[in-house]
Amino acid sequence: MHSSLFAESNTDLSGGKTTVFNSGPNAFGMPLANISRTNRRAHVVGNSFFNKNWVFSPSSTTARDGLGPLFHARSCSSCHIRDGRGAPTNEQSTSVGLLFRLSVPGKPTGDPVLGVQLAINAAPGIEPEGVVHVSYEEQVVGLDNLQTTSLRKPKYDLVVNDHYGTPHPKIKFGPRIAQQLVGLGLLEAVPEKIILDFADPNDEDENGISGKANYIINPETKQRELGRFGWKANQVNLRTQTASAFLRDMGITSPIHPVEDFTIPQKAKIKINSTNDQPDIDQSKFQRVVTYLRTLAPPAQRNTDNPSVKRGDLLFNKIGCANCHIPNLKTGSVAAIDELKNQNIRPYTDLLLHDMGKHLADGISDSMASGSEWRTPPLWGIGLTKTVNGNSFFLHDGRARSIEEAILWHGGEGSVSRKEYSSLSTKERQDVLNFINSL
Amino acid sequence: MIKYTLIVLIFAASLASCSNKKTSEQNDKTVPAEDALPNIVLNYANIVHASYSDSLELAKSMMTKIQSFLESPTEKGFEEAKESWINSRFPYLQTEVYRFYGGPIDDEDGPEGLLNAWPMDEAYVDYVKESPESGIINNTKDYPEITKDLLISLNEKEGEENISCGYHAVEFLLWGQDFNANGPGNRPFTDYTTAANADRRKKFLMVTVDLLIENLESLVNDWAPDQKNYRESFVNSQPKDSFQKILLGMTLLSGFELAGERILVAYESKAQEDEHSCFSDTTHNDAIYDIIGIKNVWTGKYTRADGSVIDGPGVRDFSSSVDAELTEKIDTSLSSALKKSMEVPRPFDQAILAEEGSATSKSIISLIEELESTADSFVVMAEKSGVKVSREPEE
Repeated sequence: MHSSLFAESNTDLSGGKTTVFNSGPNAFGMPLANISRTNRRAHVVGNSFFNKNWVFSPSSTTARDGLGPLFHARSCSSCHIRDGRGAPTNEQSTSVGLLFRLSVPGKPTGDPVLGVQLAINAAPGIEPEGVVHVSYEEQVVGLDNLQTTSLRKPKYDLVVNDHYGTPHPKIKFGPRIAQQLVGLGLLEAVPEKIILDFADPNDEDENGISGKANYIINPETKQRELGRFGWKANQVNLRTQTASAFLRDMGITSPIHPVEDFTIPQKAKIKINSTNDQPDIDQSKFQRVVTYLRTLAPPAQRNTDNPSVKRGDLLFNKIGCANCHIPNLKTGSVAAIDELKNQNIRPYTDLLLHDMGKHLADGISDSMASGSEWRTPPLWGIGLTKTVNGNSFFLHDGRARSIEEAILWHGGEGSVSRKEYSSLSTKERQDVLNFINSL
Repeated sequence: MIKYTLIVLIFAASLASCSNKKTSEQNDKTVPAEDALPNIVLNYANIVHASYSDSLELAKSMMTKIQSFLESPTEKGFEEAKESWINSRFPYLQTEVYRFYGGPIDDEDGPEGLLNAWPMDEAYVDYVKESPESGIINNTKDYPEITKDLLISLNEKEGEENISCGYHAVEFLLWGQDFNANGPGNRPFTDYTTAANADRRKKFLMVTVDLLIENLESLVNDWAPDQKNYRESFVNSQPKDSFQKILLGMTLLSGFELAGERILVAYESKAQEDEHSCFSDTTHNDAIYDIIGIKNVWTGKYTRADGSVIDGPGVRDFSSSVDAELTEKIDTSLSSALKKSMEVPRPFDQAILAEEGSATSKSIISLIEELESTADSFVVMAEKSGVKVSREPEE
């Protein structure tokens, strides 16, 4: 039915030949449809290390020890639930799906006491760094000059444990929700030139959309390279993304980050009784986890023949959403694995940074990304969020309770499209939402 | 145990010979005999019911042995209790092929996690080598009384390795942690007499066995004939829908679960904690009897615990009317997988440590490959039969 003969016209093939046709609860956990037997095995093993809890060392189990001593979560899957999104923290309970980045202006290494990320958990006998409480405030916004709707604005209170000392007075903290993971390998395989062609940092075409590349030092090559992953495009590839998540989210050292990420006051207070100097996860297992992430397939678009979805697609382009949420990209002839090469993909992202206005800004800059700039998140699979994760919270902190709320939060470079969306008729807005939900 | 192994060998040999005959008889048929499906589905339901009933019977025998051991603990009684656990696994393992399609075993509130969850963090249940006071058993403060409801509420709480129920919890309570290269765990029977919290350990063991039986009873009822239950809707659904579920179970047990999660992951991690039955060193049985379970469904023939045989139309009968050559290929790969599962050197926790390229390592890889090929063939067969089966769980 989905033979390559029709590849050009088949918009439902979001990931080219890698596309999977599963719209159930495991829709984000499927390996590439065209995966080789060897890579499927790596995927299976990586999945096990992604899913299972890590334990403190020393322990009677050895394959997955090394958690902490300071950490946020015990496994990758506890935040990326079913390879999908994390849930935001609410007034009643803290969710590990939401973590907090820390920064102090002018200090790239973060807060001198707490570092770049808050560890809400710690091994027995070790003090965690603190906790963040959230409260929400409803605010009414207008739609098409007739209707109104309500958005919730989060307010966060950081409560620091002063065990390691007092943080810098200018400390800023910003929430980051765990993102869905489908299609990461394909995005990694998009040639740099294609992404940079969309960049327009000074808005020379005067369309109100800049598109800025982030550049960061790749810890493996020590070179400044184009960032592609993370809310701020602050990771250059899936190896560095994975190593950083292991280290900062779980306290697990790896070949790329072989030592714990402690600040000077923490080094003085935490004794590590390590019996060996090997990283907690070795090269081979680490690479399996990276391959796992590279081989998570994007799910096919659904309901492409539905008239409302078709109208929504046209409107999505017409009101300018597609200026940043670029529908079509193509992977290059060079890729980490053959399955990812030369695929026409529909991720709905440009992988670039855009100023999203003051309401979404949290003041935390990240390399070249300012405190109000965010990477365009891909939209493929977004309509399956509820099926996979049981909830649908969007944006970097999960404040949006629906796709419509997420659209209405767009400010800065997204303002024009937001206003156009708001002034559409009720039926047209539903068409746009139906289209986005078909992705 | 010896008796069972023998049955397997005879069974495997007889299958190989009879399958060839069947194929040649049915070569002439060109149109898939879809009207044969209802009887295949019905015979499947009979086998499911019989194998859950056998699992229940042998679990009850285990309970009797464990009860008499706990009443007057002796070394001999402890050994008999362990043997009864090993025996109780033979029919249960053959039921694992009924998973992966949201049937009674693993629908939203199915008992799979309460019956067969693994790997388990031992320290969640009882003392471990480095931590003599760990576990629910030794935590009198938070859990003053050990009850069924407590164990259910603690199972898989805050982590999928926090296992408090099921076969592997019982296994741990009988064998203890395995630190022996040449044999299983060696828990002293005095853990049930003079050791700290011996009474709580006794209670834990009894409660978890009780719960095991309760869950097996519910599965037997779900598949019992002539009742308003899952079986009734299963045999009265569109035959193709039920057929698709049957194939899904075979495909996912063979490829995803057995080749992948159970054998490949343990082989690559080289870690005993990834071994399915790590305390008793009976992981070889897990592979062997899982494969036999797949063969039961394939051939429509199940040898019950008492030696009697259920023999009716199986998936194979439909398959051979669809593609005789593919059917023969599946016959061969299933027989070969079964043979290979018996050839992997034991215990499995030592086999996975073998150096790459060694005979042992090759035997494990070869078993993985055979199971993958089997799963791939099932997918092709499903496609040719007009149903869609995926290599990964849909849910």
